[in-house]
Amino acid sequence: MSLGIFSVKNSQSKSIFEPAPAYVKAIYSMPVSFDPIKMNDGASLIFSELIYEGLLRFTDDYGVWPAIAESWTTSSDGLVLKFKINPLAKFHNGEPITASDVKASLSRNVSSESLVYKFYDVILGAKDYFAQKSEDVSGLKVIDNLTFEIHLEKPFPPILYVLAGGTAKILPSKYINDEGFFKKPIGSGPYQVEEINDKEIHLKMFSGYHGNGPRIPKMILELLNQEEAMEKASRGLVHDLSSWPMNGKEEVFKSGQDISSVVADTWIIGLNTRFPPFDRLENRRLFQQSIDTEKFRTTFYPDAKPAFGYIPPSFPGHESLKVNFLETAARVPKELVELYIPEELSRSQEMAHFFEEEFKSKGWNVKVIPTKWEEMMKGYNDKTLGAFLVSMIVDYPDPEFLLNNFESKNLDNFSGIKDAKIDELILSSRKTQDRIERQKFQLALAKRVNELSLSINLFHSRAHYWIHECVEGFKPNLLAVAYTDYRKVSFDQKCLKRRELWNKK
Amino acid sequence: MEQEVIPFKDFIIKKMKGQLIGIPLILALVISLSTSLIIIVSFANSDKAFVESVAPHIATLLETQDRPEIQRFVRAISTKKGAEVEVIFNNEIIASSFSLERIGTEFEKGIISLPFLDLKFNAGKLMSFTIARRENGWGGDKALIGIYLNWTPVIYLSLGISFIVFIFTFFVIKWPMMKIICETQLSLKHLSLLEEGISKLQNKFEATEIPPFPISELESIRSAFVTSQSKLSETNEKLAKSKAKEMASYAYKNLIHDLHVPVTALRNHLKIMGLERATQEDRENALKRIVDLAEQVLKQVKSARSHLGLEVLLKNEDIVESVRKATNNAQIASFDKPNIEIRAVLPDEKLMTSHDSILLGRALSNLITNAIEAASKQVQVELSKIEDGVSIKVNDDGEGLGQEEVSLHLQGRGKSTKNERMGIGLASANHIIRSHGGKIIYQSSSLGGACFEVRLQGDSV
Repeated sequence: MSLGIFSVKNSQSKSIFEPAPAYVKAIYSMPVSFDPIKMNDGASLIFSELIYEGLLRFTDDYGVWPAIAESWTTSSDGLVLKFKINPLAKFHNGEPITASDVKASLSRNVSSESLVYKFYDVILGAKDYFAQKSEDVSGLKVIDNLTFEIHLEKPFPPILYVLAGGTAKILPSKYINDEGFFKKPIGSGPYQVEEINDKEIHLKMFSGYHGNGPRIPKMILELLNQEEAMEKASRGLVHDLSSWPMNGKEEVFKSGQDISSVVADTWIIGLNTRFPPFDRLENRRLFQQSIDTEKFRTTFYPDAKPAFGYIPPSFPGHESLKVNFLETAARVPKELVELYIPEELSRSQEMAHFFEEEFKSKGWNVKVIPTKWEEMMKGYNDKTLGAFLVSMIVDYPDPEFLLNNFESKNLDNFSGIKDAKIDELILSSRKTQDRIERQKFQLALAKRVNELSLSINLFHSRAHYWIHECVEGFKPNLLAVAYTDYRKVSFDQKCLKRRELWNKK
Repeated sequence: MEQEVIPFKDFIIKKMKGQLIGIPLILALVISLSTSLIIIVSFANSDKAFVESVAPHIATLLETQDRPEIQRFVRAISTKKGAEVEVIFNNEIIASSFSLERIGTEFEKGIISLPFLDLKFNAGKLMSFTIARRENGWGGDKALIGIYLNWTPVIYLSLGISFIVFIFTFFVIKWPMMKIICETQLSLKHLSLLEEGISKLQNKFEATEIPPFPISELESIRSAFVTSQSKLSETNEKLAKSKAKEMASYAYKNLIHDLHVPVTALRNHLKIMGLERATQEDRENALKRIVDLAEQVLKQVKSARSHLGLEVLLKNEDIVESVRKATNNAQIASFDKPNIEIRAVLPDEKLMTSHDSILLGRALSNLITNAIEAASKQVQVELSKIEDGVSIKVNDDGEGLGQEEVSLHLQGRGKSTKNERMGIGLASANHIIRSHGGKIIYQSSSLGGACFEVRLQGDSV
């Protein structure tokens, strides 16, 4: 799971971008990391999808498609996945991609540095490698220059989703350990890096791309806060505001396209059981029951779907009706509760006021602290935040990846919950190959997570993406906007000329 | 406005022209439209049948909330079937091959059901719905799989087939209709024959000229007409006979009247013979007169006897032909007068009139012969149709006759200055014409001589 959030203010952008034909996509923060194995936020994943290429790729509706791999097969016991590498696939420096590059890249995903190890731990030998008990991942095998095998500990079909995701990217083994590699990384994706500075990332079309390459020669990822981005978009200087899921009512939608789509996300106030008063279930439940989430949703995100549980729509365990837990007899605790919300949210002050008023009316001593996104991310990773508002994005079309966040030993367990039943259910789910049987465990898992009241579930968003009127081929991705396929996006040149004339007038 | 009179055959075609095109056109249109509807429905049913076969699986996926798999499945169905598919749960679109933007939105209201068809119209698109239900288990009306009919190939196909069906049906239906009209026209041939037969019969009645018809109504008309004609003919004959008797009686009366004067004179002369005071001279004169009178009476009786022996037999025949023959006969009889030019002014067409061609011919021959005798250079015979019959004028350029003299001649009492024949000829002609119910009028001829005009009544004897 990755965390998505919004805009970064005070960016005094000194734009060096050129007007069209460069495609300007506004981003709310610079990528936290350019290294796929350390990516845990939306901006990084956007970058990853443009610059890097994995063995597989997601289609816009949860499907998996070949990317660097020309074809792949799975053994009948489900333990071995064999990939044929496309001989035309090249890195941006022109060097061909080999099975050794695949091994080196995927090995990094299960190394001790990896923040995404949890997705790959089913690979044979991953555990030892992660624990630095071995120097080689035995399950990653180079068969020949263009053939590669992945051996699994046990059959685990969702591994294909992991390999299509934003962290399973193939990098050139020759240069990957070079110092400064990620300052101007070399990938094999449809775009290559021209320049990265504090506010902008300049990309150009990779002419040696092995498949159907992009149609837009230049692309700029520009760091802007939401107001600036919308203002520039209104003037036609930004072409893509899809980093901000909006509600379609914004002024900017008076021109341009409104592309609306469901998003596999859930907006929550995460509760950290490591600190009181949320170490106690009755306190968490009381806190959860103290806020009218529907009021919040209808006030701030009326287009979104109500959330009655942690799991977003479309996935097993999603609750479409309100679940009433028994009223708790606990009294409202006296401790001060600090609730962190991202400062970059355009109505963060209003939200802070809303939460404080709501909780105070129920007797809680709550202080809402609007915080910069970077600081929040740090606190999130360090598990120092007691309560925090974030959007949880489903990276893979399988709820296990969302729910294993609550596993006791998961390093990314924001709640810090240690629940034997959750652990057991996750274990059972991963052991089970049968799709239907697995989903039964996942249903139970989702139910258990909801029972433990580890989050206040605010809503599941329905995004409205603003796209410039002269842009064609933008298709939302049902999984995450980061997976948008920019190879298919192009400009309507006639429309651009018309706009240009209109602007001159 | 004058109504156009056209033959029955043409009338039928004129009346049926609209139906000949209209009926096949409408029927072909109805059949081709039905065909295209059947094609569309069968396409929709085939798609629906496919969706029905996968509905239990979709029900299972819905039950396990595996929407990504439903979406992939829906996309696969759509790719295979070439039709857009959507899964609707609780009126919300949860999977769509149409557009990913539709997922998570409310399914459109305002669906129109098509009567008698398992199809619905939604926003201009034709679609069918299948309930996603698993046997003995999960599912209900809340979960629907909607399949949108892929219009383009269906429309092209149904248009193509409908067009072929239209053309085929049009001609298939038109053919028997044409056949019906042809047969109708053929059957009208009998009517034409009847009409032709009747038309001919008006000129010359011969019952055998109209053959019997295979159509009862026509046969009744024919039979009625033939019977009427036969009876009319019989009646005519009877009437002619009765007329002839009347004529004979009239002739007797005339004879008696004509004889009255000479017989009275005879009696008076005989009285003179018996008178004591009569002189010898008186007695001689009386005797001479008695002889003359007796001869005259004898001549009149003779003449009357020959006339009374004639029996007129009237028939509806072409009088033009009769006049032509009579003229020729007279010309032949007067071969000793080759310098006399005889002109016959006759109509081109036949002129059917009741007459006895032999006797009338004889009477006319007499008149023409007399005219040739009297003429100095030319004789003109002129036949014309007058208001209530026919007029035959025989003109000559001779010296002409006095009215009184003509009257005596017509009675058979006159004395011809040239020869006896004339008197006999005129009296005989007069008798024949009278027996026809006609008359002879004497007048001055435009040629300068005499003109005897015979007038016959046309439609009565």
